[in-house]
Parts: sequence; structure tokens; C-alpha cells
Amino acid sequence: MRELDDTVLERRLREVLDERLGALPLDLTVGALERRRETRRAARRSGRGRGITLLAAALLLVGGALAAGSGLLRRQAIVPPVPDPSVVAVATASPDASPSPASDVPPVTTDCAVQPGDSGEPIGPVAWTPDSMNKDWPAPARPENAGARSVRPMPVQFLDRLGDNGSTGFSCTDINWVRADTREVLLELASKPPRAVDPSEQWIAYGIVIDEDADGVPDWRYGFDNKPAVAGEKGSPRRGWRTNLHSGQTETGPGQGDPLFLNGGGFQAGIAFDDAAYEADARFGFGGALETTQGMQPWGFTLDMPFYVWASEIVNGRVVATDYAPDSGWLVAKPGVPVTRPEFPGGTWPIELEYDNTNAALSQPLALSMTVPHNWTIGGPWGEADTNLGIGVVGHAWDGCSEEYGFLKPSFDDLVAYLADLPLIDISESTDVMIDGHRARYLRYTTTADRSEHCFSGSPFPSARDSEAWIVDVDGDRLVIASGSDDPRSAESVRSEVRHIVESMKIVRVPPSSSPKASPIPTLRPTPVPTPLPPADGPVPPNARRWTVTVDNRSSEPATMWVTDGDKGTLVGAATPNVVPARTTMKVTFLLPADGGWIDANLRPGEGGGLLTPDQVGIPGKMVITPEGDTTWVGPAG
Amino acid sequence: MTVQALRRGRPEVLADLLDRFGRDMQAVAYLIVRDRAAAEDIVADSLLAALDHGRSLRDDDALRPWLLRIATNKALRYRQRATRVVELQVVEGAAADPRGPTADDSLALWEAVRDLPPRMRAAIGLRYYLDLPVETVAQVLDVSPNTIKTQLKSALAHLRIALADEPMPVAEVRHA
Repeated sequence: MRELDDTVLERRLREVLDERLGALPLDLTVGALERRRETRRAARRSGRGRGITLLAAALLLVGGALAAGSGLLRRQAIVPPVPDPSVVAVATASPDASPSPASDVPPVTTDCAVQPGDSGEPIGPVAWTPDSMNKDWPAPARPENAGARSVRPMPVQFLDRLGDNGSTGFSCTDINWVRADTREVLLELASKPPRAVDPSEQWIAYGIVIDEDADGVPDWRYGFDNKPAVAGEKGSPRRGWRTNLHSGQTETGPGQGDPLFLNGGGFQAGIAFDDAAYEADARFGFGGALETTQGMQPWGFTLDMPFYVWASEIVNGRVVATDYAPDSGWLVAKPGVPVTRPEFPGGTWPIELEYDNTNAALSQPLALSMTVPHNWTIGGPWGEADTNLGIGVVGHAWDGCSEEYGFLKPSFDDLVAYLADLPLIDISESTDVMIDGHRARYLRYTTTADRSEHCFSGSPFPSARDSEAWIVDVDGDRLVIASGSDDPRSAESVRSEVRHIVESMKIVRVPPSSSPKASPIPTLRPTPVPTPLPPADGPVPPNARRWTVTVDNRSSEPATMWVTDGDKGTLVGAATPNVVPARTTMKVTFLLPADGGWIDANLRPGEGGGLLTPDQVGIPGKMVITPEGDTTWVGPAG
Repeated sequence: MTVQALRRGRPEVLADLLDRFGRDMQAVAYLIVRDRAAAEDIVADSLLAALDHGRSLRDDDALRPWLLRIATNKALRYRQRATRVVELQVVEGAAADPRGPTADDSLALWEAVRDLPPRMRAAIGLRYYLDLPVETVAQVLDVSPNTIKTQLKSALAHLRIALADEPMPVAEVRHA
């Protein structure tokens, strides 16, 4: 019977994995890989724990938005609050909060497009205007009934009724489900919003309303909406904002990249447009960590207060659909550890250029240190990737644009001359300078052809519209420090900061022994059966859960008792006694963390999992160690 | 051919690696990190790391497990760094799906898989999604086959409990 159960379970498991994992689209392209490779080479760094791109990805809804943002980035300041009461009282569609018969209609999959209307129809009072860019959503937040507030714990997935947004034609504002924890909120819609639409035609917003002090009165509204396209701006232009619902003050933040991902007023938000298999259509992030000169710094706040999710749409100046999840009352995620806003204080930033064993670009590794001003970071969600600073070394690996313009020769002067003759770039300034006692050439240039992107692939030189580069002769190694921006709005003050960073650089040779080593060759190893670990006293966790269990050790060996993390076998709790002698039945008291701890017996090195999960503490039955040494839980049915 | 190009650090090999192994790496990474964008990032980083260190690959047959191992390790490291403050908790009497129980079982099983510890999720994905032999799963995760067997057995036991209609556990939960 047990074998059959295992077989059935394994088959179902395979089916579910096929269904869930097999449907995952892989949007990664060779082009994206090459771009990433280029930026990595342009900003070689050591420090395995830092994970520049991973950090960014940790907080992105859709990958690749920061493809151009490796190296040091200057964090764009959040737009200061606008002292302008911005909530406009207008009529809204009134969602029906009363229960209705359950619907078995599958989620709508229309594209949510608006049909052409009567051009003679008068425009309503809440049409989008340029002033809207600095204002809250022009419809008021959900009305709260006095005395009727309720707060419920966030379930794994909160299902919202479909078709309850006050309209049948605007399914991209019809919330299907919400998932949330204290750092992010995900929502799925009946259909995805249009990728790029002008708000004068269709103005669509999604957001979260928070009751910060849990008094039943909404305090903050977070949201993002579509905005008009700007020439040269990629992707689907959106705006993120938050509004203090008491003062009416609104803060807005910069958008960022394509696919859509934006920052606004201390949070992040994004939409997955093309990804039908992704689990959420939109995401809000309220916390994370960023790398600064002071190490990893947390940002944001912990969403441990009541909230609800909202979606709304305006067409022809009128609110045509609004949905809330839940329709009344509040959800609250499990409280967590408070997180503070990040600081980017500036300071000294060390960088080590790796010894490149593939291309032998460096005769010996280089360590750099530089002083960075306030507001610089390495990637991450707050890095507005309009200006970056890349550092690399030009060796023989970069063959220049050899196909058309010949090979690059090895000396510093060769590189300077090569660039000067390269027709793909237009050098507006070329000056001899000194950097930390080394001779250098400063270049400012613009790229003049699409071909330059291919040509500079694999080099530290950006192929940005407006670029600067310092080529430094470090005892024969050609160190290149380069800064590029495609954003014509990049301010001269930012360039000034880049120059100060470069001027502050200290360059030091690193002994070869300290350079990173290549990964070891994977080999098959002999696999002896690990012996159980000797007994050990685990920690007594604060506010421990206490559970006394009967342990029946029927084996010929003593059995050791453990409370672990269920992953790597790290002890997170204690057992008393922690050994049950052979052929003995006795009571064992486990002290488990308040919200975790796996119970196990005869733990082996590196072993994950355990006999009982944290959620199973308190179940009836007893632990039995079989004569063969297997650990078993015998419940009432046994 | 691919391995030779990889050993030589030729970037053209990235397209082939992405095409042949990208989805497998993504699936395992996704199971561990539970975030599609992060998983995709991990695939990209893993392929670039493979290109950087390709010359250390001696055995042509080890290419797939080697790539999976890089992706798994990166995903586990990512997971360590990005561990959330809390996980969602199951609440008794939480809102039921008004559209009926059609997909409940599969959703429950999927949720139960997602609730397993990261290394156990990795083992589950490698074994039951990619159909790798236990020995290869052990090679990828750098543990003994016995540990993998233990983890898989324990994982199945917990999945079975999670799927049970009653909160009462099954009579026997074996853990070798």
C-alpha cells in the first residue's frame, strides 16, 4: 500500500512540476547574455558575496531591466513631496461589496483594449493632464464604514471575486488574486493591461492602501499608472507614487527601463506584460537590500500593517472600473522585523580587478579604491541607470574592431591611437592627465554608428551615446575607467561626480595568491554512508515552543534527538535529553523556535529536512526508531 | 564541440548552452528561489560563469551536471541572501476558492513543494522534473546519494502530509 502511495504521489509530483516548471518561459536571449558579459567585463569586481546583478534581480519583477546598469550607479534622488492637496472628489464606479453567487467563469483573457468611442462625447472631470504626473489617483480611496473594520490574516492566496470591478469591459482592473508577505504584494488580474497606452485614452492604475496605525482609517495610498510616452524612452512609460491620505501630499519617483520597473516614493512596482505563465501580473516591493560603501543596507519598510489592493481605470475623464481586494476589511501579513530606509552615505569603495585567466589581460591583479559621493550604489532597484561608471582592463582579449579596422596593438599608446582613428566614435576631447601617479589619457566621445555596440563588445568602453574614458598606463597594463550615458538629460553635476571619483582613485598591485581561484573541477566522489552526528546541545531559542514527545528507540544503537532548520541541519533548538538509549522508551522535551524548527533523530552531516515540520508540532503519536535505525512517526492510526 | 568551445572560452558557445541547458537550469533555480526573474538572472550568471571557467571542465559527459551545479549553487546562495523576513502562513478557514476545487490538489501540492526547504526543493526538481538519477542529483548538490535518498523520502512524506484531507498525519512517516 505504501509503495502504491509513493508511486501515485511521485506521478502527481511529476505532473505538477511539469505543469508549473514546464510552462516557465525563458526570456533570456543570447543578446542579453552578451550585453551582460560586456558589462561584467567592463566592471570586473571581486567580492563573491556581493552579487551585483543578483541583487538587482532580487527585486525585479522582470529580469534584465538593469542590463546596462552594472558597475557603480548613481542613485537618482526621489522627487521631493509636492505640497499640493491632490485628492479630487469625483464620482467613482461603486464596486459591489456584497456577496454574490460563486462564479465558475474562467478568467477573462481579453487585452482590455478600449473600443473607439463617440468623439463628440464630453470629457469627464478626471481626465489625465500633465499636472496628473505629480498627483494622486484622482478617485478617492475605498470608502470605509465606521465601526465595520475588520482585519484578517493574509492567507496563502487571497482570491477576489471576478467581475466585481463595476464593469464587464475592463478586465485588466479586475483583481483575481493577491499574495503578500511583509515585503511584497503580488496580484493577478483577469487580463493584463495594455503594454503602452496614452492616459488620455486609457488611464489605468494599480496600488496598495495601507492603514499604518491599524485604526481602520487609510493612511497611505501607493500606486503606479501609465503616462504618456516620451521620445527616446523605452518600454511602457509608467509613474509610481505614494500619497499621504491625510495631508494629500504626493511623492513620485522615476521610472526605470524596459520591461517596466519603477520606483516611487520608497517602493517598487512592476508589471509582467508578456509573461502568461508568470504567477503575478503586478508586484509591489516594500523592502530589500542594496550595496553601499557601508555594506549591504536594507531599504523600505515591513508591511506588517493592514492593507488592501486596488485597481482602477479612467476613460474619457470618468472612472469606468474600480476593484478592491478585499472589497471590505483589511488584510495583514505576518509581522516581521522592521526595515529602515537605505542610506547611500558615500565613502571609500574598494574594487579588485580579477586576474582574467581566460584572456590574460592583467599581468597581476589590480586593487582600486575610490571615494564615491553620496547617492552612489552598485545596481539595485534605486539605481537609476542613466549614468554609470565601468572599470576594466583592455588586453589582447578585445580585438578592437578588427574585422573592419584592424587589430589592436599591445601598448598604451597603441590603444590611444587606435581609438583616435576609429571612425565609429567621435572624440570631442582628448587630454593627457595623471591618475594616482600613472600617465593617462582622458577621452570624451560620442558613438556615431550602431556598429559601435558590436565593436565595443568585450571591452570596457561603453557604446553609450555620450561617453568618457580614462585610459591609464599601469606599468604596461591598460586600465580603462569609463562612464557612459544614453540619457541626454544627464547633468553636468553628475559628470563632475564621476570625475571626482576618478581623481580619487588609488591603484595597487595585488599579489597573485590573493586572486580568486577558478571553480574546482566537478568530480564524482566516493559516497560513503555518513554516520549520524554525535549528540549536541542545541540553542534554547527565545520564546521557545515546548513539546514533550514519547520516543521509542527499538534499535540497538542510542538515538540522538535534534531540532534543526530543516535545510542544512543547523541546530535551532534543543532536545532534553538529546540521546535516547538503545531499546529504551522515554519522554523527550523539544524546545523549538516560535515560528520554526524541524524535529529529527539520528541527524547525519549535511542532511536537510527532518521527521516533523514546524507546523506538525503537537500532533498526536510517538516517535519510533525502528530496529533498522529508521526514524518513524506513529500516529493514532498506527 | 560545445565543450571544446567552452574550454577555449569562446563566447559563441553561449547560444548553444542557453538553448540546450537554459530551461533546465531555470527550472531548478526557480524551484529554489521561487522568483522567475531571479531564476533567469541566475541562468545568465551561471552561463557566464561557465564560460569563464570552462577550461576547468575535463569530462565532456559532466557538462550538464556541471552547469546545473553552478546554477543550483548560485540559487542557494541567492536564497541565503534574499531570505524574506517571514514566509506566508496558512490560516485556518482562509478564503476558499469560489470557483470550485478543480485545481486545489495540484495547487496544494505545488504549494507544499514550495514550502520545502531550498535544498530539498532542489533535490525534488532534479529528480522528479529533470529525471536525473539519484547519483547525478547527489553530484549536482555535492552530497552523498544516501543523503539525497533521505531528502527525497522525507520530502515525499511531508508532501503526503500536506495533501492529506485531515490534519492528522499518516500513520507512518518514514525518515531513513
